[in-house]
Amino acid sequence: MWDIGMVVITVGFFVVAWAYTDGCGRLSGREDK
Amino acid sequence: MTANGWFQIFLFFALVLVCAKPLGVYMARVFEREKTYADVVFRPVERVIYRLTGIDETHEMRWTEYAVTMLFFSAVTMVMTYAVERLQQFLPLNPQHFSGVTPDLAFNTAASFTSNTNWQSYVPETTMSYLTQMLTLAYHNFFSAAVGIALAIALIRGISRRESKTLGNFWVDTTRASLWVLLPMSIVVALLLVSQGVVQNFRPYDHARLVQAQTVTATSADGKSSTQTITTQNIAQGPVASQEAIKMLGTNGGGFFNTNSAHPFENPTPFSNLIEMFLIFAIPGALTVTLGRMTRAPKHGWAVFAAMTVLFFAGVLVAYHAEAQGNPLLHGVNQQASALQSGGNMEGKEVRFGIANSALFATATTDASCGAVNGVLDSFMPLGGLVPLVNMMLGEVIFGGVGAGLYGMLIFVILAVFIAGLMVGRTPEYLGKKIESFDVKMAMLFVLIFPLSILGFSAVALMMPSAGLSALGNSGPHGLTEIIYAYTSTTANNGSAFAGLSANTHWYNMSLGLAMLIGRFFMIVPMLAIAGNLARKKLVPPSAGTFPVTTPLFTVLLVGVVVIVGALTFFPAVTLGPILEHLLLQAGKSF
Repeated sequence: MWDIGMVVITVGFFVVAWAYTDGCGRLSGREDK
Repeated sequence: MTANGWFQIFLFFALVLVCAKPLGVYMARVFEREKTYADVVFRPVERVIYRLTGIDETHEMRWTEYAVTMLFFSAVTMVMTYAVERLQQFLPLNPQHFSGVTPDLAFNTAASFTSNTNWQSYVPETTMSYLTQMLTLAYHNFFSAAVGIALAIALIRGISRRESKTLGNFWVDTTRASLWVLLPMSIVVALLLVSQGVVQNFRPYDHARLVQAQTVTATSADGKSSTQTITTQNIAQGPVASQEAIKMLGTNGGGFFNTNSAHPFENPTPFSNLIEMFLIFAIPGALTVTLGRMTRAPKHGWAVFAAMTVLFFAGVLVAYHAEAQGNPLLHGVNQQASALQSGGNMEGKEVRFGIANSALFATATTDASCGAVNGVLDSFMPLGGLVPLVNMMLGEVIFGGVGAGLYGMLIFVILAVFIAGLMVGRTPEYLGKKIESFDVKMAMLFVLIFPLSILGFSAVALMMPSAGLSALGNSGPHGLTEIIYAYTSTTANNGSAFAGLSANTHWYNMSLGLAMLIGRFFMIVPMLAIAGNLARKKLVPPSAGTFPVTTPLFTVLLVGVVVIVGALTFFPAVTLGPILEHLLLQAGKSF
């Protein structure tokens, strides 16, 4: 159970980091226009 | 302070200075794919790696693709590290028959080594099998450092390229950083360390019979005390030299043994100590030359190097002075340096290194994001302990971690030219690129995430008596410093421990693990966004309003920006911690 929790937290963190990258990318594109 | 002590400090720095140019030029040639003497050996190996992994080395990545690839690579390797730690009792090379690492500690350690932090909430020689140390921890020592170098190179390309949408290829940059830079240097250094007495074997631990048996009274968690007579001592062994080399060269810092570079099997002699300290600064110092060469502005690289040098000597002066003064509470004790003793505050320091080399090691390891230690920072004088803390709070940009130090400093460069532009009312420029609102927004995001993690997690820990405060070894301002140090060290991806904090608990393993991930990846993304944005810009010819970034004035401004940003953000915290402790110590009170 603990192991599933740890893997979920790890993968969850990197999904948030990916969304954060996407957000910065969108901001970059918007400021270009 | 002694002349001998200063001689050793200057000898160390001279080594860094002398090696900066050849190594920096070599790295520039490697990443610009120019010919090097090493091509005969490494180019065929590199081609085989790309063929086996299906990497197209001509493929160029936009900054978003570069960032997502880096995140994917880190996520996969972190989960694999977690799995090996949990399953080590079923895997080979475990002669001590260690059981699997507990889930929260395995998470903390996987986050720690993936993020180049190497914070260790465990005792390595009683927790990790040889396989775990070699397959996962040493692996991360190479690749987390290689990722750092790759990211710095991506930012340099962003600065130097014109009207380009791409920053290079993450896989190629990481491979070249490992194969051309880290691997050959590590082999040479490992052999040098073996020559000094660092062990390298796969033997089970030795058992030595004690000349005099020791009686130890231990108290268990439920309060019961038991007395035990110890007649033998376990002497830990292992493949230490091979990991020690990359531990220092990659500014990783995670020790094979719990006492890290204070252990005689990790750092046996003053010469091995000099090698280890030099390795911390070798690549970060050289990367400033790489910056100058790749941007065709060598003087700018040296101006950045000069700013780092000023901040380094300021730190080592304060730390050395504080430790050489000794402890004012030891009335009537001779603490003067002489032919018979080191003098000063020798508590927690190795006699074979003395005051100067302990203060220098502590300064260098926290200027960079290394985190290895050759003494106990908890036993430093309050102002001596303040230096490592402040070094990390400044963002570890004083040479800094491999790659991470340079890209952190370049964010401060962008802020410095922005401030210079505000002063004269012109759009700021940096090496011919206009610095616009998006660049400054991303730079501020980079700067603000750092204190948000440190102060946020520290505040929560301080509000929880059972989870946060109960782990403290000291009360008062010293205890506050222990908690703030832990979150600063992890967010800054340093990994050194102040000690005095029993961090192997559910709360600290989880919160410190998250602090490491936030401090690494949430800061890399805005940095790469700046790199991508700069790469797309046209080159603007210099004008009368351009602030030159190659002059002593620029160096002074850069030092000022680094210090002011750090001072404004963390001054209240360090006032309540080490500064208050220093003042109370002068009044005769210790914690």
